[in-house]
Amino acid sequence: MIMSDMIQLLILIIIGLGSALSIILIYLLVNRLIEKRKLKRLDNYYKEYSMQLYRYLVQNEALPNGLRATSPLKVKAIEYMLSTYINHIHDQGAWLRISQYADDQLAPYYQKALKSRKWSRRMNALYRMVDYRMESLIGIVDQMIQTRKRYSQEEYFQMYKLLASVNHPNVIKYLIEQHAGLSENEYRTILTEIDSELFKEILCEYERLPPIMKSAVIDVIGMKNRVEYIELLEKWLGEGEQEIRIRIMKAVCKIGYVHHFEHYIPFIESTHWEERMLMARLLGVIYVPEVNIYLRPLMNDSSWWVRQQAARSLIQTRGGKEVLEEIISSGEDRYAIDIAGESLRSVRKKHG
Amino acid sequence: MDNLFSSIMWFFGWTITIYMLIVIGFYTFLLGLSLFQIRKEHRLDKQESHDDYLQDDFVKPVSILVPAFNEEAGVIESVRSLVSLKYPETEIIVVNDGSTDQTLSVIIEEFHMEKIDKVIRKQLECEEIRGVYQSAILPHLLLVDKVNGGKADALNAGINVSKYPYFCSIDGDSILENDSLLKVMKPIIHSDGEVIASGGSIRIANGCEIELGSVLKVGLSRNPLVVMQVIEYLRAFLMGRVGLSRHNMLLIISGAFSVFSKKWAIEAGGYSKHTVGEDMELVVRIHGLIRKRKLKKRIEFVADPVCWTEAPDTLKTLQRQRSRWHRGLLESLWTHKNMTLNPRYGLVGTVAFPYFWFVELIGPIVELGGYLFVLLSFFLGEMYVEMAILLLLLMVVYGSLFSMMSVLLEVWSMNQYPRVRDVMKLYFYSMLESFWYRPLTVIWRCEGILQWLVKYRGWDKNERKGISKL
Amino acid sequence: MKNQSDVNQNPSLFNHKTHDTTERLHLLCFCENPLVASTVEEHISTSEGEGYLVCDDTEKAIELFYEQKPKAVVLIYATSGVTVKEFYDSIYRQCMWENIPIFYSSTITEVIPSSHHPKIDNFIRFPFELKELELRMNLKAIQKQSAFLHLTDASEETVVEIFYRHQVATLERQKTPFTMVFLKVSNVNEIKQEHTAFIAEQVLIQMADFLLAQLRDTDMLFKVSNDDTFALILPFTGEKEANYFLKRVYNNVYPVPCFMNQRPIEVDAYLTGSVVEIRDSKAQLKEVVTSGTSGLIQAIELGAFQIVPIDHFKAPQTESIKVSIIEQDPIVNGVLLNILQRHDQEDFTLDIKTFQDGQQFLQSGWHVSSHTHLIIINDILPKKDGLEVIYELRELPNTNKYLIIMLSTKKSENDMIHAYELGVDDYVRKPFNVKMLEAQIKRFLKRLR
Repeated sequence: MIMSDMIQLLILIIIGLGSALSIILIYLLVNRLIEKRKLKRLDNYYKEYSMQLYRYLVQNEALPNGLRATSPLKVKAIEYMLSTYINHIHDQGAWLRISQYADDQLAPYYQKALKSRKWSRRMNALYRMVDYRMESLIGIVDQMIQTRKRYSQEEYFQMYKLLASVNHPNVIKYLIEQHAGLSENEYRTILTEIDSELFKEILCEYERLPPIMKSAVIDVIGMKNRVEYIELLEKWLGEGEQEIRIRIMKAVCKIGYVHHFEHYIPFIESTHWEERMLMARLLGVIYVPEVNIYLRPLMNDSSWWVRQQAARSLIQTRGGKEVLEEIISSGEDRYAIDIAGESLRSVRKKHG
Repeated sequence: MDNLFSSIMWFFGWTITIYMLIVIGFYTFLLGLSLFQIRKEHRLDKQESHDDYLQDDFVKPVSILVPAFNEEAGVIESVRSLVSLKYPETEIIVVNDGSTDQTLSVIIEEFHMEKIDKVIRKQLECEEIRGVYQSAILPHLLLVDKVNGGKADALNAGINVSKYPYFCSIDGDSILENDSLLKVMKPIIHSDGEVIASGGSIRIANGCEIELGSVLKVGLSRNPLVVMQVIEYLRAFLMGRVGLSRHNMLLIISGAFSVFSKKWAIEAGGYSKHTVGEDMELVVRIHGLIRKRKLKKRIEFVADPVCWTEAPDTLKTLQRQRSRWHRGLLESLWTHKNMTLNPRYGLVGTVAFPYFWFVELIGPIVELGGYLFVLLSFFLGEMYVEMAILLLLLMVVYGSLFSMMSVLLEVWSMNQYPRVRDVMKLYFYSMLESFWYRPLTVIWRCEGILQWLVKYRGWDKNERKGISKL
Repeated sequence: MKNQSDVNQNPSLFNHKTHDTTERLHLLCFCENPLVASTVEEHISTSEGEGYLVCDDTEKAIELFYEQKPKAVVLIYATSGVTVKEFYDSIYRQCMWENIPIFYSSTITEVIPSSHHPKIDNFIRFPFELKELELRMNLKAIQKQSAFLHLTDASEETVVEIFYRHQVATLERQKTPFTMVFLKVSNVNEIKQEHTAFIAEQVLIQMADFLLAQLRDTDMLFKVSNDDTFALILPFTGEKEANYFLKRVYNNVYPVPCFMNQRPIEVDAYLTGSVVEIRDSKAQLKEVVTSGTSGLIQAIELGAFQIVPIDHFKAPQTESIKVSIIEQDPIVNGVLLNILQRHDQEDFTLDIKTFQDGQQFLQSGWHVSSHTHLIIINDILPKKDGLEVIYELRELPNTNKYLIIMLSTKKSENDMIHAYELGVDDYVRKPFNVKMLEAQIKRFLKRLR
């Protein structure tokens, strides 16, 4: 009968699920016990080796036997301690020793991990290699990039970063030719790692770069205050699209210096409010004679952002405060008056 | 007559069974997605990937909004946890929503707040702002004092005052772990703005040792009601949302801890004052905007950033919360009913909306029917009894299996409960869930639907105890 | 004997001031018994001059004293000294108040127990010449005018001792040393031989005025008792600066104009001195004076215009400095602890404690003490933020004892500026360089010396 068959089926299902449930329970229990022991052992490792590690890294003592990487758990403990050092302490000597130590002791572990089928293991290994600036596995990583096997975008990011951190010449080629789907933020991170020689090479290839990387290059120039490239930026300013122009202006604002001011003048009357706003900001940080002539009309701009930025810049410039006061007393533009008033008040408050 | 009755019963039973099978199928599918994702990241050193972002000059600054209405017990702890966040640039804006208790003065005193003169750009409608205060010690801590207008209104006021391009909303009774903001911002930073909103996990703070805004020790409460909620939260966040997020079908990111792009939130009209589910409402509207503009923007859920919150620990408060939530769900779904099964809205319209209607909303009604069916069967002869008992057993086992899977996912991802005792406790409670907790929540949720039908619109706010006293 | 006659012969430089005698009683002599009194009276009447009173009755003397307010009092001892003491006790406070010098005189001995008359520091042998007495009175008057103070063996605290105590207290608090300089006219004996003792006396008085002119407002000049030694206390001055000061003095010293037989003459005075830099807050004034004068003896042996440094008090009291490390990460905590322990040096004992968060630190009460306190604190801390801790510390009285180095995880410049405004002494960005931080801490500790 159907009913009894169904009941039998149900019973089977219940038994099946119930046993699955018990298996999970057993797994969880065993897993917890192992985890507990692991945590305890890790804790012991920290206590035992943190002083040794300090003496080895900072006081240049010889490598004690205890610090040799003998078990995966110990590697984990040491990795944790090394990471703390890297994050909190900046010391060329110590960093060099970390690299040496990693190349010497940890490289075999990472080499194995890189071949693992588990994504997270490969990622962890790459993270560590980047952190410790390991040079011994560069060749393997270079090969990994060149093979046909496709890795995840996160992995490519870490691999490029590793190559960049040791200024490997191939990194430019990979960045330009292999579109690993990196985000702008990732390009930026890689580009900040690269030294100035390699960076110059990238600048030569600027035209060939994917647009997302162009933006990153410009950002990095601004971030690192590379005044020497200002002429280059101004050249690109004339050629680029709007997005690139905005990036360039942002970078120039950060650097706070312009070479050919006349290149920028047209953007004061740009149709895009962002460009006008950036011009207002730029006028506040660079030196231009009679700067207030340019800033004054921006106070009556249709965009709140532009007005606000213009007011802030006027505070910075000579005679700017008088301009703001004049705007208030003239009583023509309500919006301009509001902004001018707020800026003046905030300045007065700062100076008591 | 008898025949008719038995055929009704038969029909009823099968409907429930089929419904359950579909739901179970859907859950299994979500579980599969989550399992894949979490297994992939199992043992991944997440700390490493976050440190990358802490160093970067291009990290997006975030305004943290803390709406507080009568939160004098917990708000200091909450702000403390926000002050010690590891994030390069934040401002913390506590919005006192016309509290009738000491919320305002407690904050002013604790952080030496002083009144400042600030021009506020009113981009969203909100009640009148009485004043803005700034801390003398921590200049990035602001306090907005405004006329009462509800949580959504307070959040809108916070958005008006905020100056950064992203805002993070935190409940006034919740605390964040120090790297939570960085973790929840990671998809946004990483994707160059493709992700426009993201939310993190909510965990229950009851039973944990918390002092001055820091979680000292994670533990489980002794209160069975709270333990049940712990399981429920694990299931909801680790199973449901991880899976939905993968396909950009997230309709809810919890208002207790979520980040939005200010621009998008403002364009979507900010938080709605006319619903009790203002967090879901905003997400749904943003989804609508994305599809309308045909942009490739995403809303993501990230499992590991954790926000600890105070869970209701009495039946009455829990009942209020659940019926309110369900009412909010129904309100949002109803408001945007035209998105349902509308291919213009992509997966959100064709999968997420039906899922929410069919599984989340109708679920309790069908389940209630199921419970009634089982009860009825006992009076109607042995043939049904066997069937009913087996079905019940199946539900128990399957429910526990999902619960245990979510515990397993927790162990594989965040690993917050290292003690054997806690895991055992979770196991046994999840076995018992179907016998008492589940029926209760089913009733409460049906109550929410009833409230909506009779047009009840109250907020029913619960008393707070303060997070470190739980 | 020759000296005495010289004094007699010469109307001294200071004599021109004596014609106000009519307005005030010049001198009150008190003798123990009538017998002595009559000899004294006899003695005085032989010399010219008025305004001298001799008395042997205590009550009458006291009455006379308060009525007439004499310019000086001479106590003449003969036997037990009981009545003299009685008289002295009832007048000495008034004398101190009105700057009336008290001399004592005796035929027998100079040694009258100081406990007996704590304030008397002028002995004059009996029988004395009135001229000599007058000269000494004038000297006293000049000393008063130039605020020229004496260091005595008196048990009561003098202005000098108070001043010295003040310096030591400042040293303890601010860790800046002060210096004492001892000076002597090295050729005073030659002057005495070449000219007269009176000329020598004039040279010393003029030298005192000259030295006073060289001083800063905060400095103090006084004379070490029973000796022709000048002593200076130079606050906030190290040995180096004191040496420069002395060299300047040596360069500026000019031939002293004196009068001899009513003719002006110029006498060359050669100064020589010793310098005692004081860093040890436990150094006693008497010890310093003793070693300073012994240094002077050396200097005199070496000749004129010498500077003999005394290193005796240079080692600061090994002070215990409190150090707090407030940092969440145990490994960083350990590294910092290590840096500091390695830096344990002779001048300080570092008393180090580590804390995990701001609340723990503030509740420990560890910061409540007068010790100098070096605080290394992270900016982001659980429970109580680093900035809040600093705010609370800076609100406390005497907050200067806290030296605060902030380790930062935040990076924005505004954060840094705000931290400085709140009162951070130094700001170190993470990741920090161990050697740099070590150098910074070293510099901090050095500044404390």
